[in-house]
Parts: sequence; C-alpha cells; structure tokens
Amino acid sequence: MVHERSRAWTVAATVVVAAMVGGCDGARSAAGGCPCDSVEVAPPVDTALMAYLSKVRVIHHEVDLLEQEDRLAEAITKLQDLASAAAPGGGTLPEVQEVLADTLARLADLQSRAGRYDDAARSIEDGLKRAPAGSYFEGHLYEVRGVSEQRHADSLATRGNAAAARVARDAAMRAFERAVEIQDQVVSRALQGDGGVDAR
Amino acid sequence: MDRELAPTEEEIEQARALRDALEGRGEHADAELARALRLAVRPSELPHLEHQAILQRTLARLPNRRRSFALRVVGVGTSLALAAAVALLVSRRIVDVPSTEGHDTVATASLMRSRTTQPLFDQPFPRQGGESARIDRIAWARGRDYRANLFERMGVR
Repeated sequence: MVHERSRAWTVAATVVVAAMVGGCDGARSAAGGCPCDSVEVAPPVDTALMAYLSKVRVIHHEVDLLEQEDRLAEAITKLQDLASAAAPGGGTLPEVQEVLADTLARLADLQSRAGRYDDAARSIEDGLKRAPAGSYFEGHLYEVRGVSEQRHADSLATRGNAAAARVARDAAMRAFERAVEIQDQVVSRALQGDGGVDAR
Repeated sequence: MDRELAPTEEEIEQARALRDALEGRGEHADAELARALRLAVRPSELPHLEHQAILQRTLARLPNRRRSFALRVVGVGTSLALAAAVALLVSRRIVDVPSTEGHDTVATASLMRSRTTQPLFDQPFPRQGGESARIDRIAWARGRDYRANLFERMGVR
C-alpha cells in the first residue's frame, strides 16, 4: 500500500512538472519568450495612451497658432505644461517618451528664439533622457541644440563678446556633427530594414 | 409602470410564499425546482465530513483490488487537474499583460502594443517645424491600432 502510494505521488509529480514545462513552452511560443525568465511585454495601445496622444496633438496645433502670431511666451508655457503633465504608463511608454522628446526639442527651439539659452539647454538635456538612442528624435534634439548654440553665438557676437561667441559656435558645430552622425546611423539601419531604431 | 405588467395580488402572494420556502419557512410547489436550478448554477460546497463519509462508504463496498484501482484513478485525476491549473496559470501570465487601464482580462496576445514610433518616419526631421505633422502621424497610426484592439476585444475579426 505504501509502495503504491509513493508510486502515485511520483506519477503526480511527473505530470505536474511536465505541465509546467509545457505551459512555459506554450507561453514562450505565444509571446516570443518565457514568463519564467520575467519577460516584459509592452501594454496594448489603449484609451489612456490615445487620450494622451490626442492632448499632445491639440497642444502642438495650438502652439502653431501662437507661433504664427509671434506669441512665443505663451507657446513656451503651453509646451512646458505639457512636458510636466502626467502621462500614461508613468511616462515610460515608447510613444510617450518620443512625443515628449519632440515636444522638448520644440520647447528648446522656442526658448532659444526668446533668448533663453540656459532654459533651452535644459530642455534639450531633458529631451535626450527620453529620446531612444540612435533615433530621429535623438538626432533632432542635437540639431536643435546646434541651432540654439548658433543663435547664442550670434547674440554674444552682436554684444561684442567674441570669446564667448567662439565657445558657443564650437558647441553648435559639435552638436550639428553629432546630429548628422546619429541621422546617418538611423538612415543606414532603416535601409537595412530594422525600422531604424537602435536595439540598445 | 404599465398596468398590464404590474403583478397581481395573487402573484405577489405566490412570490412571497416561494421566497419563504427557499429560506426554509413553509413549503411551495416550485421551491424544489428553484433549489435545483440554484444548485446547478452555484453548487454549495460539500462539507468535509460528509464527503469523507461518502468516500468511506463507497470504498468499503469495493473489493481490495478495485479499491486500489479507484484510489489510483482519484490520484491521477487530481494530478491532471492540478497540472492543468498550473499550465493555465503559467500560460496566462504571459498573455494577460495589464494595459495602462489596469483591467485587461482578455487574452491579449494578438493586441497591438505600445512601441516606438520611429518606423513611421522614413527620413530625418526638418531642422525647424513639422512637430504638429509628426504628432498627427503618430496619433493617426496609434488610433488605427486602438480601433483594431477594440474590435479584437469585442471578438470582431
């Protein structure tokens, strides 16, 4: 009786282990990985993300109108509010990160047009933290940094500060070169057919 | 309420008697049927002692060889049920990824997921301007995914 019972337990344990392995394999084939390895799967596109994208879209169109009327201060405030607002998924969803990186690039551009070069530099830094490495978004941020530094250099030169203007001009050149480097990488990856995003 | 749809005094009285019967007070002709329906939908749990007694009575009636066979069948059946539950749990963990809405209960393996928007753009952004056009494009593309997910959740293919 004891022998039979132990054999029954062995059979039961084997069946359970086999089922766990089978379940894991099934899950792996369904999602390209195994939950036992703590694979993270992005959440589906949902209402919260759509509402957020719609809000971002509206604000950018509003900023278009403000720019057309040369109301830079109001446009800057709109974009600053957007950049600091709550976002779905704790702000970590790829779409959210990318539209925010683009928003911060636009904000930096407007800030530098308003002569607020330090604010522009901070916005670029914030944007670079969000932009995926080796993406058009990252390249664009470096490009805006270059434009901002160039404006700063022109402003300093106009005021007779040639040395500081030279420093700003060098910074602009470095930013432009970095932008071109990134865009070249994105283009060549896109031509190879991987969607143009660095796998890092 | 529509006068024709309003319950009659007799119907109200019958309903009250049925409710009392179901709560153990008095009798009603339909009470047995109602109990059977209720147990079919939501069976009550068999008390442990009663379960044990039934099992012992049944096993006592069996000869030794049949008893051992019955025990084995019960053991294997229980193991299979346990294994099925484990397999179900393990595979559900991967497909039931919560959305940001936090109430995703359907299998979501085929839903369109949040991802980079980079493939929507086939050339570097212009040095200035174009932000609205870019967000228009992103919102349009994800709007399409969102609608596809809605249809998927509703079972429309």
